[in-house]
Formats: sequence, C-alpha cells, structure tokens
Amino acid sequence: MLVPPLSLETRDFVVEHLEDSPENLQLIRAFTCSNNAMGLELYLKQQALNDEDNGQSRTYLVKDALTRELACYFSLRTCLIPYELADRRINLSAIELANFAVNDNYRRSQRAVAKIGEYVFVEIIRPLAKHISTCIGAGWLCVFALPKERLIDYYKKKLGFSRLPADKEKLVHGHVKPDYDKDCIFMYQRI
Amino acid sequence: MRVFTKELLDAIEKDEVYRVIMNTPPPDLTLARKDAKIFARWIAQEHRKERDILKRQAVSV
Repeated sequence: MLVPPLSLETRDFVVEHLEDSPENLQLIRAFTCSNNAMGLELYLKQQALNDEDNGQSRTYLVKDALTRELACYFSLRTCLIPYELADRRINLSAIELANFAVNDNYRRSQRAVAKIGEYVFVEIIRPLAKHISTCIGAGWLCVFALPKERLIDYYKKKLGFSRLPADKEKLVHGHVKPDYDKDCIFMYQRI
Repeated sequence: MRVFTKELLDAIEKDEVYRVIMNTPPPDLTLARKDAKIFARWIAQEHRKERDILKRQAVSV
C-alpha cells in the first residue's frame, strides 16, 4: 500500500472540509475568536474558501460529534523553510500550520478542564501532518506564531515547537504571509 | 530541477542554520499528550451524560 489510509475522526469529534456539509457555512459565520486573534476569525470567514479554490491551503473544521458545534479549525499548507547560504538560497520542505483557532462560542471550550488545543494538536493535526509527509516528503511542521510571549511559550512548552537562535531567526525569511502574520515568529518541529 | 554539487552539499552541511534545524530533537509532547488525555476523558464523560439525557427524553416522548 503506497499511502496508508487515515481516519481523523476521534470518538468525540469529526473533522470536515469547509464544504463537506451544508451546515458548515452557517457554523463558520457564527465562529468567533477573541484573544486579539481577530485575524484568525477573518481568515476563516473571508479567505479560507478562496485559498481552497486556489490550492493555497486546506482548512479543516473540527466539530463536536454529538452537538455538531464547530469547536475549532486549522489550516495546513505546504511551505519551505528558506534561508540564505552564501549567495544561494536553500529550502527545506515543511508543512505550515497556517491557522489554528478555537471557537469562543463552543461552550465546552470555556470550561476549566478544556484543553482542546492540545487534544486537537496531538490527536488530529500531528497525525495528519505525519500522513501528508509520507505522501510528499516534508520533515517539519512550522508555525508563524503571533509575537506574544504567552503564545510563544504555549507553542514551545506545550506543543513542542522550537525557535531558532535569535541571530539565526532573521535568516529564515521570504514567506508570503497574510497581513496578520506580520512580525510573527517562525517556529518548527520535526514531524 | 535542483542540482547539488558536492561543494554545495558540503557547505549546506556545515551551515549553522541547517545544523540547528536538522539537529533539533523530536518535539517533547509529554505535556500536550497529558492534557489531551485529560480532555479526552472529560469530553467522553460529557458526551455520555448528554447521550443519556437525550435517550431519557426520547423515551419520555
């Protein structure tokens, strides 16, 4: 078997593409994302579908299997980790976790016990990235994290992302990013 | 098509950014997995409770 099958569904959540179900457009309209991450909300509402049509990224909706509420979403796209070596530009193949946000309106996300971000990352995003890497060859999962200490810390300590040393960070450049990614911090991990 | 000469490959392997990235150990997901487990147990329990309520409601109708 060249590519082993992959099921992203867990017992309690289903994963769908934007247009998999007629209810999804309504769910997307009701999606809200505070925490100074309005860009993530706008992306889902205004850009995600265009990016899918143009083959720029793929967005996944994670829905509560029982209530069908939209719990969170994430987008993946292929990317290169580019840096300059003397006068040459070198690229390493990677997958970018381009967007990842929990829906404020998902009632369960408000509970003290809620660790839905970690759950989705471990149970859905990483297995999917691993699966994709077996098809196309990509060694790293990357994020461009908003430059907020707390968020960077979360990606580092909880989700296992690394940062390059400060003087090397500047050498990783050239990504075409949406406006809200401006000044974001490049982080990466082995798939 | 990319052509790698031996000189370029040598230079890449000596490059510090390349080495830092290549030598980065696999992510430590201990904390994430622990939290994911806690959440998985909790959400399963919540769903069980809600399914029971739905069943009871269906029976009483």
